[in-house]
Amino acid sequence: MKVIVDYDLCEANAICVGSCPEVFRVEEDDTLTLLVEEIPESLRKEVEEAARLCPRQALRLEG
Amino acid sequence: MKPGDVNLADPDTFEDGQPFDYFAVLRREAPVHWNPAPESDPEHPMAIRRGYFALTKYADIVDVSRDGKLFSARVGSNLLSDLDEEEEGHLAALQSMLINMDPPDHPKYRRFFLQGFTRRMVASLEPPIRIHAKRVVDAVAEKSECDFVTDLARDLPLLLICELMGVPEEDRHRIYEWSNLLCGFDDPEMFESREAQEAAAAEIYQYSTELILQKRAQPDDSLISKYVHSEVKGPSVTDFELNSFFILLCVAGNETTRAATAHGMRLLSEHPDQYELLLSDVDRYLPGAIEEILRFSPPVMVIRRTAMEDTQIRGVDIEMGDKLGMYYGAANRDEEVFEDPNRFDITRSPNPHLSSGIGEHYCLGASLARMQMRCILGEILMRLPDMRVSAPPQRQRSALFDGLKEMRVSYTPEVR
Repeated sequence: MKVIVDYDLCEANAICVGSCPEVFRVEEDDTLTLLVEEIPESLRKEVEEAARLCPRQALRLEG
Repeated sequence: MKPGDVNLADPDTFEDGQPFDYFAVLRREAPVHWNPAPESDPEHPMAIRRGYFALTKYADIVDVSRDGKLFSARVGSNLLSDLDEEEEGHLAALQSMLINMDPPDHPKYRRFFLQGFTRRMVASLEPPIRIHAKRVVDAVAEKSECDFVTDLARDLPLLLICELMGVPEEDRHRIYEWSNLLCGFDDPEMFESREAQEAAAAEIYQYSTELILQKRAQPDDSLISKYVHSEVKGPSVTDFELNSFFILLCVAGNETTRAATAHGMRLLSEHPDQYELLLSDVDRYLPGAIEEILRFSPPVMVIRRTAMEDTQIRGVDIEMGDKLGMYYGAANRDEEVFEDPNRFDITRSPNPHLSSGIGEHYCLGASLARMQMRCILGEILMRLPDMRVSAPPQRQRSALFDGLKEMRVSYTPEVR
C-alpha cells in the first residue's frame, strides 16, 4: 500500500503524525514528509485512520 | 418525535441548546430532510425565505464538504439566509471572504492567508497567550463568583485577534462590540436594528481600511502588516479583500472560541465524573477534553452549501440551486462513527468530530483556537479547580451560533 499526499491540500495540521508517526513527519518548515514509501501491512490500520482523519482530506491510499 | 416536528431554521428551536434528540430522529429516518422556511419576519435582513435540505449524517457532510465544485460555498454564501436583491451589497461583501470562496479562487487565497496560521506561528503565540490567560484569571481569582462568558471566555480570543491584527489596546472594545453586532442578528438583545447592523459593518470596514493604510506606511509584526507587505506569490489581494478577511477574523475568531470555552466549563460542570478525571491530570487529559467539548457543542451549528447541478444524496433528488445545511452537531453524534455518541467522554480517541469543518474550508484558526482553550481552561483548572456553573446559562438567540451570553460560575477564591 502507498500513500499519496495532495500537497496542494496539505497544510501540515499533523493529525496524521498523531495517528502514525512511523509514516508521517511534519518538518520545521511545515511540510509533510513520508518516512516510508511502501506502507507495511502492520501499519495499514493506522495509515487508514490518518487518511480518514486528515482535516484537509489530503491523503489518498493506493493498493 | 418525527421528521418535520421541529423547524431548524427557527432560532427559537435552539432556546435550550441544540436539538440532539431531533437530530437523532433525522439521522435515522430522514438524513436528507427538507426543512421548510420558518414563519419569520421576511423583512429581516438575514431572513431564511426558502426551505433547504438539512444534512445530519457524518458521511454526507464529509462528502459535500469535499466536493467544492458540486457544492458551492460562494453562491448565496455559507449562511442559510436568503439575501435578496436589496442585500446584494451585503452578499458581495460576504463573497469576498475566504470562507465563502470556491475553487479556483479559494485555494489561491487560502495559500496567501495561511502564512499567518502555520504551526510555527501558533507555537510562537502560545507564551504571550499564557501570560494573558494568567492575567484574565488574576482579575477574578480573589472573588468567589463571576460571569464566565465576559470575565473569562471573552478576553483571550479578543486579545489574540487584536494582537494578530495589530489593533491597539484602546480600540479592542470596539472590535468586540462590532463583532457582537454582526453576529447577533437573531437576538433581540444584540440586534438593535437593521440600521445599527449596517452602521457596525460600515464602521468596521472604515476601521480596517485605516488600519491597512497605517500598516502600509509603518510595517510592524502584525499579521495585517505581513499581508500588506507579503512576498508570497499569489492572487493580488485587494484592500477590499483584506478588509473582508479582517472582519471574518474578528467574527470567526471571537465568537467561536468564546463560545467553545464557555461550553467547556458548562459541560464539565454537567459531567462531574469527567471533570474529576480531568483534574486528576490536566496536562494529560486537557487536549482530549477540548476535542470532546468541540464534538459535543460545536459553536457553529450549521454551514450552508448550494448545489451547482442536479444531483442526489442517499437517493434524494437535489436540484441545482438547492441549499444544503450541514448540521455539525448532528454529524458529531452519528452512531455509525462514534460509539455511545451521547456520552461525554474526554478520553475518546480518535475523535474525528466535524466542528472545525473538513476539507477545503477546514477552519484556518482551528489550532489557534485549541491553543487558546488549552491556555485559559488550563489556568482555570489549575487555580480555581472547584469552579462550577451556578445558574442556567443564557443563550444567544440564533439558528446558526450556539453562543452563550452569560453564565454565572462560583468557586473558592484563591488564597494569595
